[in-house]
Amino acid sequence: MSDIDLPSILAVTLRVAALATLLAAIPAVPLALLLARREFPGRGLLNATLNLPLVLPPVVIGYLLLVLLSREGPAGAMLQHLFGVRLIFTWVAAAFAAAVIAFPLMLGAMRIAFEGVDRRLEDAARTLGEPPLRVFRRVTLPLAARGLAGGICLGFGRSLGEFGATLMVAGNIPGRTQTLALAIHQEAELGRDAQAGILVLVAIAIGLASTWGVERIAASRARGSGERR
Amino acid sequence: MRLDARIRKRVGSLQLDVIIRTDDTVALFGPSGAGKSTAIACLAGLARPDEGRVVLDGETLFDSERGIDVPPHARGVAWAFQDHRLFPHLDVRANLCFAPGADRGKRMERVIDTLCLVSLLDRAPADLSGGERARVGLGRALLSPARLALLDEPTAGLDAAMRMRALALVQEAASGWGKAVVYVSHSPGEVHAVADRVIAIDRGRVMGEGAPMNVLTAGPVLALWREEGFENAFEGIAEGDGVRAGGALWRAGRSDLRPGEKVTLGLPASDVILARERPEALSARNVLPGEVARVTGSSEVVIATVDVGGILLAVELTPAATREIGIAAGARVWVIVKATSLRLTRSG
Repeated sequence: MSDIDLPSILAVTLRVAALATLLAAIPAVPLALLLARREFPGRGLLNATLNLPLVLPPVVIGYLLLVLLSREGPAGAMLQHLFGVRLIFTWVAAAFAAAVIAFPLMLGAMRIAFEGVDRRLEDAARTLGEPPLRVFRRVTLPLAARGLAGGICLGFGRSLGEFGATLMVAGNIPGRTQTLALAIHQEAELGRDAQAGILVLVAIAIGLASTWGVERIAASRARGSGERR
Repeated sequence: MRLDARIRKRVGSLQLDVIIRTDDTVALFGPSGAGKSTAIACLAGLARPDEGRVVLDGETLFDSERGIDVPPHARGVAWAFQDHRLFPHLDVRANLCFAPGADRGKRMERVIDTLCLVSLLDRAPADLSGGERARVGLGRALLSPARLALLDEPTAGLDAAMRMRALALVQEAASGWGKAVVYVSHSPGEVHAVADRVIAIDRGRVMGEGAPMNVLTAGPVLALWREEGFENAFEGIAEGDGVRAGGALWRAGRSDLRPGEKVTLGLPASDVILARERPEALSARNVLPGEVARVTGSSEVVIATVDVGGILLAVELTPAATREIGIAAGARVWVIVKATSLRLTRSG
C-alpha cells in the first residue's frame, strides 16, 4: 500500500484536466455561438465533425493524435522543428487527448446555453446603442453564463476520467503522465486490489464533488450578477 | 429633430407602404396587424424595408437605392418595446441607464419621479408586474441619448392615472428634451392627448394623416376604433372644487385639489350630452356653452367635435339624435357632463 503516490497522481490528474478544459473551452465558446446563431452551408457537416469524438472509441482518437503528434507526424514534426519540444508521452499530450474527448460535451452544453438567450433582448440592446461585441459582453454572455459554466464543469469532469485516448498518447508514466484513471488500471492489472480500491474511492469522491458543483451552478438564480450602475 | 421615412415592405400577406414624417411627436394609429410595429422596426433597423428611405436629422439611415443600411446601434433610434424586453440579469436601475451615454442626472430623476419607479430601482425584472415592466421599458427608451424614440403602445397595462403621467413624460421628452417621438397606439384618446399629428394605418396603408381630431373622426378611420371608445384628455389648473381648462371651469366634485395644481382631465366621448337650449334644474354639475366645430361619422355613429372654451371635445352621438336636434358645424350647444364622468389625474 505504501507504493502509491496519491498526491502525485492527484496533481497530474488535476493538471491534465484543467489544461484539457481550457484547451477545449477556447474553441468551444465561439463554435457553440456559431452553431447556435448562424445558418451557413456546411453547418450540418461541421456539427457532425465536431461531435465525432463522442461516437468514436477514445482509442481511435488517441491513435489519431499519436499519428499527428509523433515525431514523424505533421504537427509533431512542426513543434519539434519550431520549438524543439516533443509532446508525445508528456502530461500536455494527455491534456490534448482529454480535451478532444471532452470537447463535444462542452460544445453541446454551451450551444444550448447560447440558444437559450432570447435574441429579442440582444435586439433591445442594439437599439439602445450597443455594437455587437458589447451586446455579447453585456447581454449574451451574462445570460448564457450558467449554461457555459455547466459546460465547463461537464468538460472538466469528463477530462478527469479520460483513459483510452490518454493512454495512447501519454502512456502511463508514474509521476509524469499517470492520472487517477491510469493508476487504477495499473493497480488492477497488478492485482493490488487494496490500492485500486483506495483510488476508486478517491475517484468517486471527486465525481460526487463535481456533480454537486454542477448542481449548485444550475440551481443558482439567474439574477443578481453584477453590473449595478 | 426631423424624421423623414418612406417604407415599403412585404410581410406575409401584408404589403406595408407608409410615409412617416415628423418634427416632434407623431402617432401611428391603427388596429393590431395594421403594420405599425413592422414600420417602426424598419425605423430602428431591426427590419429591412424592401424599398424606401429613412432620414433622421439630415442623416440617411437607410436608402434601398444607394445601398445604405446603418446598423441599429449606430442609428440613434431607441425603442420602447410592447413586450418590454427588460434585461433579466440586471436590476431596474441598471436597465434604466443601460444605454451608453444614458442620462443619469436630472432626466433620470424626472423619469423615476414621473413613472413612480423609486421603490422598484433595486428589484429584478422577474419580480415586476406587467405594468411596472412597461414603465421601466418606457423610461429606459427615453433615457437613451437617441434622437428618435419609438414608443410601441407604452401605456398598455397601466392604470388611468399612470397612463396620464406616462403621456406627460412623453410630451416632456419631445418638447423639453428635443426628441422626435413616434408613438404607436390603438387608443384614439391617447393619440389625441399625446400627439399633434397622427398617421392612421390599416392593412399596411395610410388611411389619413393630420390633426388627431380631424383624422380620427373621419369615416373610414372612425370604423377602426369604434369599439374601443374615445377618451377625451385635456389639461387644466385646479380652482376651487373644479378645474379650469381653456375658458371653462369644469366641476369635478373633488375637495382634495390644491388651487393652482396642474391636472389632466379624462372624459369618455360617450359620457357627454349635447343640448340646443340651456337645461334647467339638472343634476349634472357641468353645463357649459360650446360651439360645434365639425360633425363626422358613419351610418352607425356620429362624432361631433365641440369647442368648449378653446378645448376641442369629441362627443359621440347617434345619427338620429344629430338630425333631430340639429347638430351641425357652427351650431351653438350646451355641453352637459356629470362630475363623476370626469377622471382627474395630477400631472405636475
